Amino acid sequence: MAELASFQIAMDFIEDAKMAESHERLGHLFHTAARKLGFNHYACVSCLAFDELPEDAVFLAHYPDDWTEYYLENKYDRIDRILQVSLGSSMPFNWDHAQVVQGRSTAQQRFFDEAEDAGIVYGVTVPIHVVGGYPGAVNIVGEYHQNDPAVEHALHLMSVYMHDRAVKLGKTRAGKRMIRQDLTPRELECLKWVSAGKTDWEISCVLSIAERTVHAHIENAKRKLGVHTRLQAVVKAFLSSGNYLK
Amino acid sequence: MIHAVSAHNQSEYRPYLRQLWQQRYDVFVEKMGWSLDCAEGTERDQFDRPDTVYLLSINDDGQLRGAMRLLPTTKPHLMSDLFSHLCAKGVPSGETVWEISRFYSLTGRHMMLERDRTVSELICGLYEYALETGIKQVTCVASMVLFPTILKAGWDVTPLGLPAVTDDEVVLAFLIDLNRRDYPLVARNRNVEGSVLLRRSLREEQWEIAS
Repeated sequence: MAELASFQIAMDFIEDAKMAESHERLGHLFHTAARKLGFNHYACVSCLAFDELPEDAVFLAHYPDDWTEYYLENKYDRIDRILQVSLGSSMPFNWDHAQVVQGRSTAQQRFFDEAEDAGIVYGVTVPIHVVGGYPGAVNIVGEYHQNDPAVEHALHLMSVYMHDRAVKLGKTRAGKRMIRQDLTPRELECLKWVSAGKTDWEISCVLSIAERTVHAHIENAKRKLGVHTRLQAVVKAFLSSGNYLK
Repeated sequence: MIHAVSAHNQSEYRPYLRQLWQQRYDVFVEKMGWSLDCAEGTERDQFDRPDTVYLLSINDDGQLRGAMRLLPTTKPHLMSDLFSHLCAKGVPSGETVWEISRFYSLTGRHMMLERDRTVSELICGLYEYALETGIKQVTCVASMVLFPTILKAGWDVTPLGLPAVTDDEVVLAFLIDLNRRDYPLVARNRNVEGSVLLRRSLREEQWEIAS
C-alpha cells in the first residue's frame, strides 16, 4: 500500500479516536481502520496475567469468539509467545520475525497451530511502554501474511493512539463503575459457562432454559458491562471485579 | 522556574547559555549518542541564532536543570532543513507555529518521568509562554519510543506523517496544539499549580499585551 494511503487511514482513525467517548466506539473505529489495512482482528491489552487484571488495566479486543474463550480457558496468556516477545521489545514486530518464529516450545508451537486454525494466521504487535503505566500491547491480526512497511508504520501510529485513548477512557469510567448495574445471578451463571467455552445451546441445556433466553442474558450482561464482545464480558465480569469463576 | 531567553535578554543569561551548550553535549551526544556535528564538549548548531528562544528550567539554587529550544517556522528550522521527509503533507509553517527541539532534563534517564519536576515545568512553561506570546502550535520530531509518554501528557497531538527509520531509530514528526482548553488538564496531569514562567523574562511589550 502507498505510504500516503496508509497514513490517511491512520489519520482518519486518530482524528475520530480523539473524540471517542466509549471503549465500544474506540474499538469499532480501530477495527474499521485495521480492516482497511488488511487485518480482521485486534486486541489492545495490558500485559498482565489476564485472570488478575486490576481495574485500570486495558482489555479491548475483537477476536473470533470461540478462540478467545478457548484461549482464556487454557490460560494461554501464560505461554503466549507474542506477549513474551512484546514485553521485551520497544518497537513493533510482525509475526514472521525471527524472535517469534524461532525457539518455540512444543506447547507454543501447538498454540500457534491452534490459532491458525481459528483464523489467526499473521499479525503485527505493537508493544506499548509508558512511564508510570502498565506495559501494554496491541495485536493486529489477519488471515494472510503480508509484509508492508507502510502498513506496519500506520498500525504502529494507530496503536499508540488506541492504547492512550483506551487508558484515558478507562480512568473516567473507573469512577462511573461504582454506579453500574450489577449482574443478576442468571447472567453471571451464563457468563461462567461462556468462559468455559459453551455455546448458547449448550448453556440452555445445562440451565434448562430456552436458547434465546441464554442469548438475552448474555446480551444484557454485555450491555451492563459496557462491552461489545463475549470475551470482554467474561473478563470484566469475573476477572477484573472480584467475581471469581467457580 | 522557567526563564524565557530570547534576543532582548540574552546578555543577562550568557553564563546559563554556556552551560546550556555543555549540558546539551552531555545529554544528546554523550548519553543519547546522537551524531551531531559539533565541537568537543559543546553542542551548538546553525539553529542557535539570535532569534532563537530558549526555555530554561532554573531551580531555586540557580542551577540549570533542563531546557528546550524554540525556532520560528517562518525561517529555516529542523523540520524544514533536516526532516521534511517526515511530513506527508508539507512542513507546517506560519507566524503562530514554532518548532521545539533539544528538549531535555538532567534529572534522570527517563526524561519524561512523571515525577520529574523539571519536565513538568518545561511542559507547562511552554504552554504559558505560547499562550502569552501568541504561539498556537508547536512542531517536533521525537523517537517513537517516547511518543506514548508524550501523548499521555493530555495535550492535543497530531502526527504529520508516518513514523520513519532515521539513524537506527524510529522517529515521528508531529504537531501539538497548545490551546487554552487543554492546559488545565495538562497542568493537573503533571501536578503543576499556578504559574511556572518567570514574568520578567518576557519582553515588555509582550507583558503589556498579556496583562
